[in-house]
Amino acid sequence: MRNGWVRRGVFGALAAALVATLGPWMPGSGAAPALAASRGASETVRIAIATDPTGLDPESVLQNEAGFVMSTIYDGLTKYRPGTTTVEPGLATSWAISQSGRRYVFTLRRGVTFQDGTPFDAKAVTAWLDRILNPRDPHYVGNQQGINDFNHFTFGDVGSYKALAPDKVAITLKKPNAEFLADLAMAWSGVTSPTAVDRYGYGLMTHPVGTGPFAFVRWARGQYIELRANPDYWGGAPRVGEIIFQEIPEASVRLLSLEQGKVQILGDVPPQDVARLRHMASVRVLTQPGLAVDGISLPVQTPPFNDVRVRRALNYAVDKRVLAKDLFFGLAKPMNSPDSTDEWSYVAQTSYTYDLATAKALLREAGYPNGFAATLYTYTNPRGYNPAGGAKVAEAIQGDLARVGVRLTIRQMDFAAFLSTVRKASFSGMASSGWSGDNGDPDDFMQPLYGCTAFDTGNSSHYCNKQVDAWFAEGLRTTSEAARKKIYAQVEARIWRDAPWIYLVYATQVRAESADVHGYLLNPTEMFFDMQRVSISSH
Amino acid sequence: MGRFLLRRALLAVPILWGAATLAFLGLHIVPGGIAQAILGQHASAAAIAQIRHQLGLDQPLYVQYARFLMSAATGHYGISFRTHDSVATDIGQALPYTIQLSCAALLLALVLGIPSGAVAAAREGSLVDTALSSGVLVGVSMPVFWTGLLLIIAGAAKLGWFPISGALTPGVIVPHVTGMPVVDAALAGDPAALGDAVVHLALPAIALSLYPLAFIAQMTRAALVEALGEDYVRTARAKGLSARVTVLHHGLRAALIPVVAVVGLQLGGLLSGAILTETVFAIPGIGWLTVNAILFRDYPVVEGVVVVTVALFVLVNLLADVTYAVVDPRVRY
Repeated sequence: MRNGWVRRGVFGALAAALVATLGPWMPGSGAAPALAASRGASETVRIAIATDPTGLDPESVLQNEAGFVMSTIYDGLTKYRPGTTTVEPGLATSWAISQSGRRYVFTLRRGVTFQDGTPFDAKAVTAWLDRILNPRDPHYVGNQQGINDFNHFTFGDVGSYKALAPDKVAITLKKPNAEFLADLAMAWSGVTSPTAVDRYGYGLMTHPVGTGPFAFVRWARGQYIELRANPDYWGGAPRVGEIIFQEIPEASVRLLSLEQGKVQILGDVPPQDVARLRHMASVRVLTQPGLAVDGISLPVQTPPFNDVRVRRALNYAVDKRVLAKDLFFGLAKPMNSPDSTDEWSYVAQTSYTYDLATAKALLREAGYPNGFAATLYTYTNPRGYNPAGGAKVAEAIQGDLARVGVRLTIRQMDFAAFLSTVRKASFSGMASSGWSGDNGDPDDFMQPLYGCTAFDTGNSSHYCNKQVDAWFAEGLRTTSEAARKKIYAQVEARIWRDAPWIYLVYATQVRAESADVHGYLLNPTEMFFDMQRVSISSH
Repeated sequence: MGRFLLRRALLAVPILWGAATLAFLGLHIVPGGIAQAILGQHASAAAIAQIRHQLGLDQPLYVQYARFLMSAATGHYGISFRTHDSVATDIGQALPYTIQLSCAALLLALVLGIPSGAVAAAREGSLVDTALSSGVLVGVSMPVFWTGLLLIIAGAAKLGWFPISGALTPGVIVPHVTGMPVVDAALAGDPAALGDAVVHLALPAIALSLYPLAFIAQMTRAALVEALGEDYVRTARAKGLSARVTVLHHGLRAALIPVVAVVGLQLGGLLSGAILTETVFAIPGIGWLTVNAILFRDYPVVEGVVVVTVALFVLVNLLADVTYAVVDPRVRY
């Protein structure tokens, strides 16, 4: 769903080269004088983003940059603990889940108002749910044309909802869904002001009103979005007066802007710029493992890939460490589980460490002593989970596999065309695969890639194991985290052993901030949650 | 002249139709499609089918084409898939930025290009001529994004005279009249906003002006060198007129005729150069809109932009032809 940054091939590379070449001439590394200028405006945090948000209605958009902004304006019933994807109370202070795992009764936070003064209560929550789920609602979001949203994912299982008291709402699901609480914490589940909805209708896209720490002021399309601190924020008054999300499409210019103190946080940092940023005294580079995996899916139902020995051989034949170091500039870690290291359910498995002898032996055993020919489908652009771009990684894999006699033909295409190709039931090639998690739940991270019903979403290997699917179902039925941990430990071990992918790397989330910014924490979902904690030191 | 204008206006129709058709086919025959682009990686086949149906993309291509032609003819391109605004609104917001940038760049190119070319021609073979000609070579050889970045590094980062990017400083508001920040700030009589808009415009305008500046200087020099060798110029000299009067009144006047034609052509180049310039300097003009629309497979916007841009090309060329007739009494349509 999330596009990550978009760079423009040769253009971007040349631009980066220019900035790198002229670096010593620029007032760069010791940019203290430049930063001094920004301290004058210490009440404003400026965040550079690569592209314009597509809209600011949480239930009608699904784009990273839109999420960045919305995560400062809106709150969900639940939220993530700062810096993590662990769910904790948000606009709901507590909840009770029925034995069946279907009925949730939320107790709402009292005394909260939306930024337009509307009280937040059970009526506001049911109005919000009406807008998402009730086709007869005059503002039903589904009546908009061509929108992208996460509503089916988050609210698809909701059967009914009811206000029980001014501070109590019951939501009943058609079937148990243990990730529901994590879904409600996403930037795409922000609770909208019913007054603003009545006033603006679908115009909420450009007039967002929530209960979050910052209130919308103005949006100069293609330039910036200005937000003002909400001093009554229930999570504590923000420590800065203003946030400005400023669109700067060109990566080199974003970097210069940070260096010059014109912006304080970079929302997108291409990996090749990290080394330069690390040398700037006035800049801090922030990294976090992130909810992102990158690999190559293997068509497990097609010979020779239907033999698990072949799939394991290919895993042993790829040098993931070199890949992480050279193509991801060290901002990646070889995978050692199908789950993300940032998930609470993560269990490390025995790595497929680079070992050509084992790879050759396994291929020999499987009846392919001289290897075989295959086609690897890939995309041209960089992705959040693969900032090097599909084609570059594919070429590295091609080189590695040639050493064990596997001759790859690479077919590269633009991303939309690539998805259309690999998501057909008839697809039987190898494919660049990757995933950025949405809500921090292991089901969201593994079922779309390895579930029997996910051939048309992320499961391009067509891996289908009935036992694993049963575990997935059990994982969603079970509400206790401890019990779920045990279930997903089995899932991870089985999928890892079956090797439907060549498991490559976990991509690291990278951002940069100027040294006078304090309290900013990365979140694995990449969103700008808890921005009320951020301050700028004045000197 | 009236018949000429009518003929040209009629000729514009097949040109616009051809461009619009090419844009339509180009977007619709590439694999992938808007539904996948809108919904992204996590979308199910059912969701993709639903959105294709919503947008009419599941109808036969000829039906979509007919619908597209109807809307193109009436100027209604529908709603942007990306911004959910009408395409006309999106283009209406973006176009003034590009017009402002292109006009500023052209103005710089004319103001500096013609005198440079004239000086080089008047001192043909001198050191000044060689220096100016070398400058011209550099100007036409430098890609605009490269000069843009150099200007940002020098003018914004090193000297601190100009802002790094954007069209206005966040928080500086000008009432919307034309959509061009410099013009609107001037109309509002707000000197602070006007200053802010001008310094934001300076670097992108310089970057975008270099190529046409070099080209215009080159053309002026070549035309003037030729004109200065003509009999009537020799006669003027023989009459005892000063070199200044000879060059400016007799030589340059005649030499400017081909330059006018070049200026018309350069406007087209400015529009395409704006794509890169606007990306580097973060200006939300037509170039920026086009790049975003293409990356997002925002068909209605791409189609709208193509038709509007081609219409602008046609109009500008027509204006160039008319100007040609005005400045050159020998040309009659």
